[in-house]
Amino acid sequence: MTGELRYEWVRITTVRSTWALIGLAMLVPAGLALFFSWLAGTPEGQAGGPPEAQGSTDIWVFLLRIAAAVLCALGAAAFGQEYRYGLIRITLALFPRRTAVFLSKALMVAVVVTVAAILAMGSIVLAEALGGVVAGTGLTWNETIWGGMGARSLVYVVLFVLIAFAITALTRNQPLGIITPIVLAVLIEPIVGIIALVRGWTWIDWVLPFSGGAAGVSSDGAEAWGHLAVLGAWFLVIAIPAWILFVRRDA
Amino acid sequence: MSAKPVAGWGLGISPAGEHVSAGSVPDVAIHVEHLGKSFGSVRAVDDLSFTVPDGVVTGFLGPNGAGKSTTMRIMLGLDHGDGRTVFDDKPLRDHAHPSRVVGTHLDARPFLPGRTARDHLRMLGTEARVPESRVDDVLGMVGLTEVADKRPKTFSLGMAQRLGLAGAVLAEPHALMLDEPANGLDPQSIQWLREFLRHYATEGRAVLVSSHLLSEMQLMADHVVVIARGRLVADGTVDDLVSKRSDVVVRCTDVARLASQLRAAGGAVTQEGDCLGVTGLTTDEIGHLAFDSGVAVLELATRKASLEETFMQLTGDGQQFAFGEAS
Repeated sequence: MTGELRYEWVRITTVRSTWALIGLAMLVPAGLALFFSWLAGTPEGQAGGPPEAQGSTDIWVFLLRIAAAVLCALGAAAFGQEYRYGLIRITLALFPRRTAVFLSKALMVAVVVTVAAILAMGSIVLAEALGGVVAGTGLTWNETIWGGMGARSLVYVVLFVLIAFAITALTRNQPLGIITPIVLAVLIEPIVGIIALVRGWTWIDWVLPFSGGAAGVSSDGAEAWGHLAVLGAWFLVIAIPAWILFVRRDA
Repeated sequence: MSAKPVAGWGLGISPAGEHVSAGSVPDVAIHVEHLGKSFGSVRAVDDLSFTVPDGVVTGFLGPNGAGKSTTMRIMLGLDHGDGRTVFDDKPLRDHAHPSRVVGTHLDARPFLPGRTARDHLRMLGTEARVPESRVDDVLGMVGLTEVADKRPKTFSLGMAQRLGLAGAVLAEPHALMLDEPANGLDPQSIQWLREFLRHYATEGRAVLVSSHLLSEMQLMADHVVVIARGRLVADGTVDDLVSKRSDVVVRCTDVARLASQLRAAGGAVTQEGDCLGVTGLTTDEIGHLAFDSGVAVLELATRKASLEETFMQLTGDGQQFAFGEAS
């Protein structure tokens, strides 16, 4: 599978959009983190707001979600660009073993998104600290991510993007692969979450992929990893049929 | 693209990755055995078997919708279907390095518009670990050196075809499969392509080219496979196919008398005004028969059919999507 991995590495690193998306995934959340941090450091910000720890975690998850949404395009491009431009026929003529092609694409997306997510998380922490300096409260580093929360955040972003990858592989439709996880995460699941809150469905975070994933980032211990496992299971639910179809259907 | 010498094609890449002479490339031919595929109720390819021999250019001909592109995709395992195709006695997927076995160019613009031509080829070269210098060589060969670092979104169709061809030959595969590679090329480029493919074949490699440009194919191909409605209708050398459909034209003083003499001698005769078209007899035989019959021959010539005429006769009503009558 090394040939397939080399191919994927060159494929993903030789388009400007990859670097642009990684840059956006760093800059957009970092810009917002800088703003929120500055806002929280102002006298008005210090006077009100939610309990500090809760507010900080919610903002962290929100910023991660933005980074993941930007990086969805990277995941969707793995198959989307190839089908859109007919490259898939060249790819499969070079590498007739389709399972290896599928796994290599997923693996390379995961590796690149892991690096991008680390950079994005680092830029958020840096921007948050700088926001405090700008607001006059001094340089304070957010140390909550140096542990389990940081690792869970990485897993959340990678799985989020891999779901975009799997949807595109399944549908061969790049825009659908990008839009579906974002719409689910920022629109559909919050609506379902409100309904669940009203109806008392406490189990809902164990069903919905992205709300559950977010809960996995913000909670602790085995429960947190359980939530992320739900997100991982959703990835597999989409990726396994996508793989079967990729192997069976015409290129 | 100006016509360029094709010297340098002796440079190949050994399984270990180093450059070697073309002479060390093993003999490979493509064997297609009982291919078939249906789209719903339409049988697009039906029990198709043929061989693409080493050392010659094989033309793959057929009307629109005959199943040429589908056949090529099935051969490469891109589309699923019945039958099997072997490259050097093995299916393509069983070779360690498929790109050294067969190079393909199936689509006119098979690249990402935002990736430079050089990076596109670097990507294709990963399978066979093609060195960077080889990428530059191939770009130079197809005349794209000046635009190597440009993004091909602005490439003309001809430039796109050349980039596609560069990708196909990058790993110096033993066989080439090209689908309509001459589309969009100017006459000089077509001439270059013809010389290049013929040279590639003379190095002992197999070349399969589909094209609608029959006059060009007559100059380029030594061997043709003709299909219609997914079925094989002819498979042989161009000379054999064309000669079978050639006839002798006779202009004489008594058409009726000579026609009856020729038919009696076993010839097939058609009358065309004051001339006869004769198949099944040589010019010598016809001359002697005319002399014996006392008919003065005013003109006697072999009329060689073109590949286009042969193609039209062979495929006849086999066009999947035929034109209506011109009004």
